[in-house]
Parts: sequence; structure tokens; C-alpha cells
Amino acid sequence: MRVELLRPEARLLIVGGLSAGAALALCLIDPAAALTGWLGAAVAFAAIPAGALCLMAMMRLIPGAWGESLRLTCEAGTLLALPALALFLPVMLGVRAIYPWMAHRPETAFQAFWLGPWFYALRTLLWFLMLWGAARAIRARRRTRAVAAATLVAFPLLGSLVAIDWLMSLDLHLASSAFGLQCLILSVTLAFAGLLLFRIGAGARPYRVGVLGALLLTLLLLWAYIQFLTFFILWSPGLPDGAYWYGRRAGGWDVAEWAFGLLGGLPLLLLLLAKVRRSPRLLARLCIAVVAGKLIEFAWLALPGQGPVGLIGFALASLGLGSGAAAGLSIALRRRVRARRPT
Amino acid sequence: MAELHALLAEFDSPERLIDAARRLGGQGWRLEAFTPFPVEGLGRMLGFADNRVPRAMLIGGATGALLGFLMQVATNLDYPLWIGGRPLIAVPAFLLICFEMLVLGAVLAGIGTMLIANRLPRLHHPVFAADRFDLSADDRFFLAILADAAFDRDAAGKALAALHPRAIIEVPA
Repeated sequence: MRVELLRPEARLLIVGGLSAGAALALCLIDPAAALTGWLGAAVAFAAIPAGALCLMAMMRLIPGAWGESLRLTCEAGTLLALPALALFLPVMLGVRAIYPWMAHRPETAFQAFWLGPWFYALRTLLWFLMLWGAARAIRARRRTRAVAAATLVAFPLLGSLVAIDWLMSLDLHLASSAFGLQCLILSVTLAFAGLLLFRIGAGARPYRVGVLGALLLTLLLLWAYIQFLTFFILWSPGLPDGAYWYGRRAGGWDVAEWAFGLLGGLPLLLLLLAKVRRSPRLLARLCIAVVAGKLIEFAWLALPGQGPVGLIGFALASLGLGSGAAAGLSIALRRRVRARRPT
Repeated sequence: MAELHALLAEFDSPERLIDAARRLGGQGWRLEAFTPFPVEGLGRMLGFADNRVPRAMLIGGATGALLGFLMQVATNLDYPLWIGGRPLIAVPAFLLICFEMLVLGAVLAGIGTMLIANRLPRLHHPVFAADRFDLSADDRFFLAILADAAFDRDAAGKALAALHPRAIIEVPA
């Protein structure tokens, strides 16, 4: 398979490769912090194929104007599933440095059984294989209805498993049944905002763009709801484990909380205005704000306790993987356009 | 000749109704349509651009949320209960009630405005007296030119006839 590269794509890939390399080079200073930063960025990158598949499955089951203008972009997004799996290789190799359950003895028999490098890698692999296989079937227009329905059933279940593995298990004490949903809504919102931004930037004005603006509003409402609810459920009884989890995010992380709250909350309020929802230019700007907010949120989930090296690592890795995602989407979209072109 | 409320044209498919509404849309008539089920895009064709309901829902929702919040603040100040070392005005705990009151305020304002804007409840309407109008609940689609001060019966009749409807029906006022 030959991959043609346009000049801007090649530039993005070079920038991305250099910053990703720099992020990994930070392992020489502090492997735990650097790899945790990488983990945060890799989880954000993995949100694109996951969110794209979720949207694509919904397009099949809930047809309408909203799907038509994003279908090819979502198909391109799902092609990033295997690159996303590759980006998890440093995480799988560095499990020992990243996760407390490798350093301390697990606290319960279940943790001892569930948390281990091989089982962890197996679940991660399973998730990406699900993304890859389901997306392939839907892209090929093969039994799409059944595959889409099965995907939407498997999505929250497997998605919760990997969200707990990747981010929640960074803290051995937190047990939140909503954590998976929290990560999934973050992922789908990030993916939708990223794909919509790419769609507005790359192509002609989308058909009935107001519907897409309304969908972004819906996702942000869901995000605000889930994000507040998880906080509220831990805040209400005020038990030590939950309080500790939020307590670790006090201090400097307050700024991050304000930042992602405003970067998600202000677009939410602005999207209430029909004029904003119908303007591709304003929507693109709101998408940038939402993507930035969600990246900060992934950092907020992954990084507390890791110090400045973790932050720099996350920033470099996000820049690198973000550039890679832009180039990858562009290459993938060309492939999809060629595949769907009538012959 | 008796005063008219409107002149109706009867069509047998939603596509023909939409097409008729599109052709009459730019000619300055006051149009109305009656269909057995919602027809997508018809509102646009009739030049319907009323956003009183969404605006009322926004205002009602904001008022409801604010009142819900103030109600809880007042209750807690009036009857202080110290729970779990939390401040008396514990904002996170108030938000659930605020949300419920927001929904209640928005829904009541929306339904109320919808009823007022539609002048409902209304037990009788002149079109009910028109021949064949009962078919608008079955399988026929009606386009009406409403009579206003500048209404010209013959011109309206010609405009409707040019659309080749199944029938043209007079609605007495």
C-alpha cells in the first residue's frame, strides 16, 4: 500500500515526530512522569478512532441530515485505530513506571487478579481490535446494521474497562462506576469537536451545519452533566477515598479546572444561540476551545502528582500526536474519498 | 357575497403542497396550511419565523433556576442545619434542585407561550365549516390564502387555480 504525502502533511508529520520523540526522551530524566504524560496524550489520541466509530455507528442507526456531512470524516477518523494502538506501545512497555499497582502490593484479591501488565495489554489490544474490526465492517458497508448495534452495546462496556485501566487505576483507592462514562463522553466530545474542526477546515461548507452545532451542544451538555454528577456523588458523602482523589487535584490544578470548565462551558452557552450554531467560522473556533479544554481535562485526569516533567511530557506528546492526528486524518480522508468515488 | 375567512386549495400529496407553497411564497399572500401530519420544510415555505417559544423557554428556564437557587438559600438561612461540616450555602447540593426548576420553568413557559401564540384553547375555527376540510385529518393537504384588508377574491382564486389543485373551497368568515 503506497501512501502519498502532500507537503503540509509531511511537515505536520515531521513536527509531530520531533515533539513526540522529545516527549519520549524525557524518560531519561523521569520515566514515571514522562510516560504518564505520554499516556495522557495517547488516551486523547485514542479518543479520535473511538469517537469516530461511535458516531459512525449512530449514523447508521439514526439516519438524518447530521450524518451525511460527517460520514467520510468519521470513516477517516476510524482509520487511526491502529496508529492509536501503536502509540500505546510505550505505555505497555512502561507499565512498571506508570502504575502504582506494579510498585505496591495490590490491596484486594480482585486487584491482584485484574491488574497486571499482560492482562492490561490484552484488554487494551481487545479495545483497539474492536474499534478496528467494527469500523472496517461499517466502512465496507457489510451488515452495517447489526455491526453498528453491536458496536454501540460493546462501546460503553469495553470503553469503561479500558478507561478504568488507563486512567482510574493510576489511583488505587478510587472506585467510581461512572469513571468509564466520564472518559467516554470526554473522548466522544473531543473526537466530534476535532473531526468537525477538520471537516470545516478541509472541505466545503457542511450541509445543514446548524445540526452539527446542535450536536456539539448536546455533547457538551452531556459532558457537563456527567462531569458534575461524578463530582457530586463523591462530594455528597465526603468519604476519604473520593475526597483524596479530588484533593490531589487541589493546588495548581485549580487553574486546569477553571480552564477546562470555561473552555467547555462558554461554548455550551454560546451554542444556545442559533446564529452561532449556523456559522461554520464560529463553530470552528468553538471546536478549538473544546479540543483544548478536553486535552487539559485528560491532563487533569492523568497527571496530578507527576510534577513539571509530566506536564512538559504531556504538552510535547499532545503537540506531537495532535500534529500526527491532523496529518493522519488528511491522509485517511483522501483514501476514503478514493474508496467511495464511483468508478 | 358573504365575507370570506380564507380560500382553500386541496392537494393530494405533501410534495404538491410544498411546491404550491413555494410558488405562492414570494407573492405577498398571507398563507396557512393544514396537513394530516407534520410536513418537513413547510414552515420555511410559509415564511414562518416565530421564535417566541424558544425565547420564552430561555427566560423561563433562567428564572426557574434562579428562583430554585434562592428558595434553597432562603430555606437554609431561615432554618440552618449544619451537615457534615459543609457551609450552610452548599452550592453543589443546590444544583440538582436548580436543574429541576430550570426544566420546570422552561417547559411551563414554552407550553404557555405556545398556547397563547396559537390562541388556544379555541373550540371553533372558521375552517371547520368548510366543505371537505375533514379530509385534512385523513389524506388531503390544504393550502389557504387568508383574507386580510387587501384581499381580492378573484386574484386569490386565480393564483390558486394556477397551481391545479383538486378543488378550491371558500371558507366563510
